Amino acid sequence: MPLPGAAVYMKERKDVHTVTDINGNYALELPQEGGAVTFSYIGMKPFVHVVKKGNQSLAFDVILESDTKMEEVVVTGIFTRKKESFTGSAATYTKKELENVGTTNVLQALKTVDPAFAVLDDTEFGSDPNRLPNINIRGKSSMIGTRDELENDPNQPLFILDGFESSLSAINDLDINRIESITILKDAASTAIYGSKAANGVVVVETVKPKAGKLQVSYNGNFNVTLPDLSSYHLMNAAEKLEFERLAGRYDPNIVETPERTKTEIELTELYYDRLRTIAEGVNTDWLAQPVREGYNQKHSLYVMGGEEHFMFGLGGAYNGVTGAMKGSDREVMSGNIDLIYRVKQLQFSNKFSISSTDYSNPTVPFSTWAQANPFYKMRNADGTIPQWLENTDQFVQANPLWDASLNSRNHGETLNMSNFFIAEWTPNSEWKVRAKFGLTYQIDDTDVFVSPENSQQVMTKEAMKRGEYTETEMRIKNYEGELTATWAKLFKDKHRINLVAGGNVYSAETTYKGYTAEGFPTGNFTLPSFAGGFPDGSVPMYSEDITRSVNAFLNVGYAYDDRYLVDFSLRENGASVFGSSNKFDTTWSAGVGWNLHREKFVQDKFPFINYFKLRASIGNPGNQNFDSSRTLLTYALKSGMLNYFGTGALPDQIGNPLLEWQVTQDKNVGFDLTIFDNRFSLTMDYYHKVTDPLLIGITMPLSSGTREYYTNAGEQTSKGLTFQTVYHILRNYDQRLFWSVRATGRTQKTNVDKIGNSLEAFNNSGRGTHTQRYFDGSDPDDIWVVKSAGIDPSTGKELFFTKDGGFTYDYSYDDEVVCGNTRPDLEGVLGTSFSYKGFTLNLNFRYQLGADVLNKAVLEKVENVNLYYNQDRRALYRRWKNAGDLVQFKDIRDQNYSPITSRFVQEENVFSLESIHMEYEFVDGWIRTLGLSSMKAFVAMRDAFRLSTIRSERGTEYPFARTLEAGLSINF
Amino acid sequence: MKNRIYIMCMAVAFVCLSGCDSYLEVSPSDKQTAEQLFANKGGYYTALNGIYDGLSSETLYGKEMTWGAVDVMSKRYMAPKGNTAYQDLSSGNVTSSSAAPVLSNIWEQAYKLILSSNILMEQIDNRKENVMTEAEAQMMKGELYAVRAFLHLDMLRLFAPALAANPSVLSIPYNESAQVKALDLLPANMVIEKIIKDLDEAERLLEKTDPVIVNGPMASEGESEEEMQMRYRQYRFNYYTVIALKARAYLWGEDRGNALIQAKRLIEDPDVQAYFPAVDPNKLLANASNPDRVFSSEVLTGVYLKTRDSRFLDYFSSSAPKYQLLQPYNGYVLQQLFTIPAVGMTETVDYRFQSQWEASAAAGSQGHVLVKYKAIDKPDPDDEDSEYFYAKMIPLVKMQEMYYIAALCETEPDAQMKWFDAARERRGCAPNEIVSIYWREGLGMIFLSNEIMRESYGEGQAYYFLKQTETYPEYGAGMITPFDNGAEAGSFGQIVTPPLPEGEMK
Repeated sequence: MPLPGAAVYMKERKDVHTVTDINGNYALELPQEGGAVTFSYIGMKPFVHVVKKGNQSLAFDVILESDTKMEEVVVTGIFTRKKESFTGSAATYTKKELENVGTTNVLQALKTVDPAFAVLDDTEFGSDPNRLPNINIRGKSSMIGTRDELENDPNQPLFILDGFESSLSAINDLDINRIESITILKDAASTAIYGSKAANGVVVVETVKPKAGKLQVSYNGNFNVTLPDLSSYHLMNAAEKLEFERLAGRYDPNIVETPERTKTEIELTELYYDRLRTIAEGVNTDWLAQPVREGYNQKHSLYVMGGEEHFMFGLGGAYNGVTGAMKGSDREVMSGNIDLIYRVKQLQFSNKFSISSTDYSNPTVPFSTWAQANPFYKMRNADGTIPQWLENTDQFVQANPLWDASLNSRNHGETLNMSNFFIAEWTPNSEWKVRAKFGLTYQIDDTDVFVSPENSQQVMTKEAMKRGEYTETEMRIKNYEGELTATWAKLFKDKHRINLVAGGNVYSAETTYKGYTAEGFPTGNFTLPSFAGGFPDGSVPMYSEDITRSVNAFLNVGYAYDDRYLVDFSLRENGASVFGSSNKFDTTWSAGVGWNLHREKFVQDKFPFINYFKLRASIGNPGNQNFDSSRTLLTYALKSGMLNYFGTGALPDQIGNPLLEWQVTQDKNVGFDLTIFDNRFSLTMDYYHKVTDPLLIGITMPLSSGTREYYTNAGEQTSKGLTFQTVYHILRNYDQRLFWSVRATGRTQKTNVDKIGNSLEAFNNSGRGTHTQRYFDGSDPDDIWVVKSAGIDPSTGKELFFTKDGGFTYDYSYDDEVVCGNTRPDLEGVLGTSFSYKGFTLNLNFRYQLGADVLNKAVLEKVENVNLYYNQDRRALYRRWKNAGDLVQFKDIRDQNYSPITSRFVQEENVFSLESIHMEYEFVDGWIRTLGLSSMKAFVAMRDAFRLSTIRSERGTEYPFARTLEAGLSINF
Repeated sequence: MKNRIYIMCMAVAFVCLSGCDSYLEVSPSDKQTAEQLFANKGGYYTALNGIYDGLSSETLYGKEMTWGAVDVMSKRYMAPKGNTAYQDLSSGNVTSSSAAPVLSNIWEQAYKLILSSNILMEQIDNRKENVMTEAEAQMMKGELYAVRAFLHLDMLRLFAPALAANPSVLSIPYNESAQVKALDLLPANMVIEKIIKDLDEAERLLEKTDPVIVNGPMASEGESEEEMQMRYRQYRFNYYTVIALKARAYLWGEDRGNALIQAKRLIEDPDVQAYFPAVDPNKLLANASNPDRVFSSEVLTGVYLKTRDSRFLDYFSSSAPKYQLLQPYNGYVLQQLFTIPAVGMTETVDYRFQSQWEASAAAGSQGHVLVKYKAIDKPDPDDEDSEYFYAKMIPLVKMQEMYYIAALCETEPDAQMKWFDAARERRGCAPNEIVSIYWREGLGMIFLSNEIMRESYGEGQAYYFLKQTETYPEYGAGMITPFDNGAEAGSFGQIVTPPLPEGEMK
């Protein structure tokens, strides 16, 4: 097949270049002295032909080899292996693939491209740029308790940046232009080399390394717009709210509950008509519109590299500004990096230094406060001033959020992150390689929160001299990591390929945290601690520290026979400080097998349409160390200073469990990779089966046990799941440079817990009325347990419940709880398509999510169980029972008793959204050359353009969601 | 070259293997591990003092369990406007979103201290040799048994209904273990049994070791720091406190015979009368500089609340912010509290009226405010650190209560009245002839109730007395519970027993 548009050029002579024509023919005038001619085409291996001196006219036919699957490698961060001979389940994405999903956030991009990589929607904090997302690979392997543990998320994967352990926040802030590739290691065979840290999968990020050659400059610029998305809110307007209040009985002295019970009928009626008049005058304040904005910002990144064979360098700098959807919410990241490589004989030294500085600020009034305010309140006085109180009577006080937001309160922070990674490699011959590396990371995070003395909360709760509050915290993280590895690879008799990796690793992470709060500030612009009146009564400075260390030795053996039969084995001895002195060491292992069917003669003969077909299976027992290091100890907290006549005192601070054991997951995986019909169609499928036994559970204890949460080993959790990724190239016309492909990814999973006995009984009981998770042997931890509702009785407006045995009752009883749904979707994934014609490319990615059940908080808290004094969802007015005979979903509008959680509030959610759209044009030739550019691209992209859901629920209660529109330019010199 | 590499690798491996173990031994330096703390005797006393300090926290006896939540629940004050939690507790709405956390914190903190006591007892049992003498160990354990019994008894009295109504109803858990575990709810009578058992054990341990038996309370500084741990016995659960607690526990357990025996053990012991004499009116009245308003000489055990002066200013002083001022309604103090019911005689001679109440002085306010916890002058005005030992005291167990228990538990009216009159005499009130007539007609409870209300303001005991006596037949029709929060005055049967907090086994 002829290749049109392939480049033919001489590297050392800029003026000597051409492209092949439509039939793949070319002609090139060569210089007299001859030299190397390169033939290249995207997706093919470049070919170099050396023309001898004086041999200027010759005909030469070149056949380029396809450069697809064959050359793909898996980078595990410790060693690199050809993908074809690797038995684990792993996926590698290049920078280009990540960019095509139209986001500049690495984690969001991974979410779109990989079905196993899940970024959980934060329905509370929406698009808050200063919140780190919750991430897991192949679902949760731990179910540790009930609380969100921000520092030690037990389901968070391990992040490896350029071979060193890194953090979620570092990856989140990483400039996408620095990325060379990202590999996600999913099963035991691929992660086992990380042993006891690997149970949640590993994300291996490699950044760009400088290459030898002439100076290259690349620039990426990007302009972005953030548009708040309030479409999930359906709040009442002023007239609706007043009508709702009237119907609910706020102005009826016989119905109204506290706090207005002391008001007389006349006073209440007066209040009602007063408000009615205000509304008639046209007051209908849109509180939601006040704290949000359209955010405009930009992003720039520049990388310069060059050097020759012995010495190469790269210098980078980037700026990333994010203007959040809420006023006062910003994030600015400035970063720089220096990459150096020095080669001498068999040695190579490379060093990567990077520094980034992040400035962030958060709004001082949460979104939920704005959403509470009634639309019939006037935001401003007639003269334009802002009143502090919207309502202020003996019975009820409502502060004006606009007042609080207009004060000089602030919530600000700064992070400085520095890291230096040094790697020395010694390659005595083609078989051996010895590598030593040492990395240091240092991070400081300072926050500075000031609450104005005029803040309504301060005014309401504190005496005048103590109003105003300043809190400063400082967190320092020091990490170091050292590693020594030796690899040996040899091919015997052209058939037996052996790979061996052995090494050891030392890691230490030290976190210290300190801070203090001061109070009593004068009004005015006196917001610094020097103006404080003192410290709150009895307060002491905060201080805590956490040291985690680990020492490991590992071994990996890979054997391939004729590249057809593959065997992998890993062993790792882990030592960690996390699990008490009696449990310091643990061994993890994995084994994998693979079979490259496409290399078998019978397949090549009988199924010639198969291009690539590999079967693989693996088993192993990776562990999990994302736990606080002192959960095994009994520690005392000292109260220093003179407490009484007897001096100081100390109380148990943490009552650890000295018997705590490592949490180990037995992870099995089978899968295949298939490519057929001349690489037109490809499919990768993986089935996994993970058993975590024993689980480390944070049990919520009854308060009378003396502690709220206690860590223990109990029970086991089994997750079974299937993921797939498939691509079909519908159009592949090289002549026209016209390509069109569609793709789909998907994930489905089942989970259940077992052998927990009654160890979680207290947790189950404590959940009654507060949450819907219950753990029993054999149950699914994501099940929603509530009493089944038979709906609202049309004659009384009261809720009718099903008893466990199917009867009806008006009496709610926790004993009637049954499973009424499951929060995990049955199937979730992405449908995407790519279209490109000449330099133009269009990428669309749609996310689908089917069969998840959710507890609709908006219905539970803003339709029923409402606080009459706050604004509510429209359905509270229109869909609640009013008169006998009403067939409605929600109970009597006058009923202010608490509605317990029942199946009425559980709804099935199916979602279809346009997660990303990305359009790009690449200027290959022509005028850009005259500007001295080697390439130029322009793109427009949008995230979360629309979202269709089968339920109406408020998303982003503390911070709204947003749509982001980006336009950018990328230039290479 | 190759050899050198091998040697290097082996060296690294050796260093790793030998150093690993200690490298991985990380003990947090921001916290004290039990091992570090209990290396010497001082550590044990620090841990013991931690428990006493915990008792004096505002969640417990520094506020909520004395002059705060429980007093509010017994309707001692008008509900403060700005404090929704207290408003709700006062009106009996104990499960409201603002009131429930207050109760839940009390429960949590009490059981935390119980577990802490159990852990400390275990640490004492497992102590290294020669860390302390056997006597010291016994004394410490004796106090811990008493603390444990005391806290359980108060949780029972607060979160369970009066025992007479239903002695075998499941009430609260009893924690006797140093391990963290979920505990079963026990019937109230079984909880009482366990409390008595712990108090017996405490008595046995303290009998031979507590210096209070020989030296009295020793409410002054000692020569050395070590000696200090044996002094100030009124800030510790001492031997006599244990006996008083037994009387209290038997009474709640409706075992009046035994309650009486224990109460009399103290009242009739001349040593006790000498160690814990009634308040001396000569030092109290007309003393503006350092009056002993808490009647500390009678206090068997109290807590040391370091912030007492500022708490007084925040909650009781006439200058306290309106939204949190704790004050009975106008006219109540003189016309109800210090007026003998049915007789109608106002007793301004009562030492308590003279020393613990003041007419509100601030503009716009009226009535009387409680000044029991008002700051007093320092003994040495030039020395910031000097203070009278009672300056920061909040009483938990007092001798006066023994007279009330005796009066309640005697069966004959005359015997009852003997203790009642003795108690009143200690407060400067003379016996009243009309009272004795009513008393013999079976209306004694009215007077006893009034007397206890006078005594227990700011100490929390009113709630328990009212809860228990409301169930008695003799506390019957026409009886007015002295609700002092104004709005509900006169209504009956409104002492609310809160349910166990959320987050507790149901």
